[in-house]
Formats: sequence, C-alpha cells, structure tokens
Amino acid sequence: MNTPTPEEAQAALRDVDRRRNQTAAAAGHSRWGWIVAGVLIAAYGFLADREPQFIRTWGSAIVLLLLFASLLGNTRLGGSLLRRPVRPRVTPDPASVLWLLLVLAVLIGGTTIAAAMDVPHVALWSGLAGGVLVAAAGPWWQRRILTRETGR
Amino acid sequence: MTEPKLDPALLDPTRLAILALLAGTEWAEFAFVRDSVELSDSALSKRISALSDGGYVEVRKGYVGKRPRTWINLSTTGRVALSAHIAALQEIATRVVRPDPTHAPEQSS
Repeated sequence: MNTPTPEEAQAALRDVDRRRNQTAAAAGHSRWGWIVAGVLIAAYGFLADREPQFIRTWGSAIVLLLLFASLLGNTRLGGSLLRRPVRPRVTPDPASVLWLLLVLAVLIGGTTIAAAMDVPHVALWSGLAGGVLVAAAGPWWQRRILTRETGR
Repeated sequence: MTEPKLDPALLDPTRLAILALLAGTEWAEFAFVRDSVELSDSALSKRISALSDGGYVEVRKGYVGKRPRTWINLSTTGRVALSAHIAALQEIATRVVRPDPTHAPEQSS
C-alpha cells in the first residue's frame, strides 16, 4: 500500500470537504423555497386575522397537508417526486435544538401574551414575524445544520 | 513513528469521493452521485459494486412511477472506515505543518 504524502493527504481532505458541501447544497431547499414558506406563514397569519372562519374550517386540514408533504419529502419516493436527490443525515445537536426551542418559545409565548392583553391583529403580526424569520433565517439555519461536522 | 491506519480501498480518490458524498446523507440517488463524481453509469456501477461487496455501501432499487431508481447509502461499516481513513489522512497532513523535530535544521544566529 502506498502511503500518501502530506500534500496528497491535504488534497484528499480538501476533496472530502468539497464533496460534503456538494451534498449539503443538494440536500437543502433553495432560497426561493424558504421565501415561499415565509410568505405562506405570513398569509396564514393574515387569513387568521381577517378570515377567522376560513381558518377554523380549513386550518387543521392545511396544517395536516403541510405535515404530510414534509414527511413525504423525507421518503425516497417523495424525494424523487420533489426533485430532492438526497436525504441529509442530521445528527442531534443540543445547542441547535435549544436555539430552536428558544425561538419557538419567544414566538408562541409572545403571541399568547399579546392575545391575553387584547393587542389588535395578534395573528397578523405573529404570522408576519414568523414568515420573515423563516424567509430570512431559514437558508442560514439550513446551511448551519447541513454543513456541521457529521460523520467525521 | 507508527503509520496511520489508512483503508486501502479508500486510497482510490473516486471511491473516497463517493463515500464522502454519502457521509452527509441517509441515502442518495444514483444519478446524484454519478453527476457529482462525473462518472458514466457503468463506471459508477462498477465502483458501487466493489464498495457494496466490501460492505461499505448498501444499494436499494425501486420504482418512481414506471421509472427505475437506485438509492445508495453508507453502511455502518463504511461510515466507520471513512472516519478512520479521514483521521489517518489528517494525521499525515499535519506532518507538513508539524515536521519531525528530530530532523529540524539547525538555526544560525
């Protein structure tokens, strides 16, 4: 067996990093996908504020449909249908989970407190805040999760 | 100095590239791996067969509609072998940064 020289080893390691980034790029959703998701969340908040009857009738169905689409996207069949050629391997990271829980707690807690204080258009503002957060921070968050040192 | 434990099968850059691509995934489509490593279908099939025979990867075939699809995933054995190989490469690579002190040239004042 020929042992690689230090320069060859460095080149091989650079290639490994390049491959990892290729996988991360293929596994993630595009920036447009995040923007559309943000707009949908903001639209949900708008509808909840202006058309509460519509959300009472169809809200659960919409949430279940989105949940189903999300689960389907993680299967081989769904990945092919959604043109997502890889399923990323995401290892649990306590720091990321804590951050996610903190952001959710602030959003849900803030909305609950604002609703209790009879702040007008709470659903509209919380939908807008959630939508902007997903559209702006989603790509960054995704990149952070997918390029984390995994399996190395 | 003891030699780092390199995996002979992964000294081939293409095999290493395939395993490195699969390391960040639960599974990947054959076409994605083929396009990423820029091989033909038959050349990649040969490489995947060799890796599968060695227990590094697992292959699953299926259909999406009427179209046949192949998915590849890194096995536990492959993941362990890749991690050990990368650790060995890192050890070799640091020899450039940290040369053997017993052979350091004398400095003139």
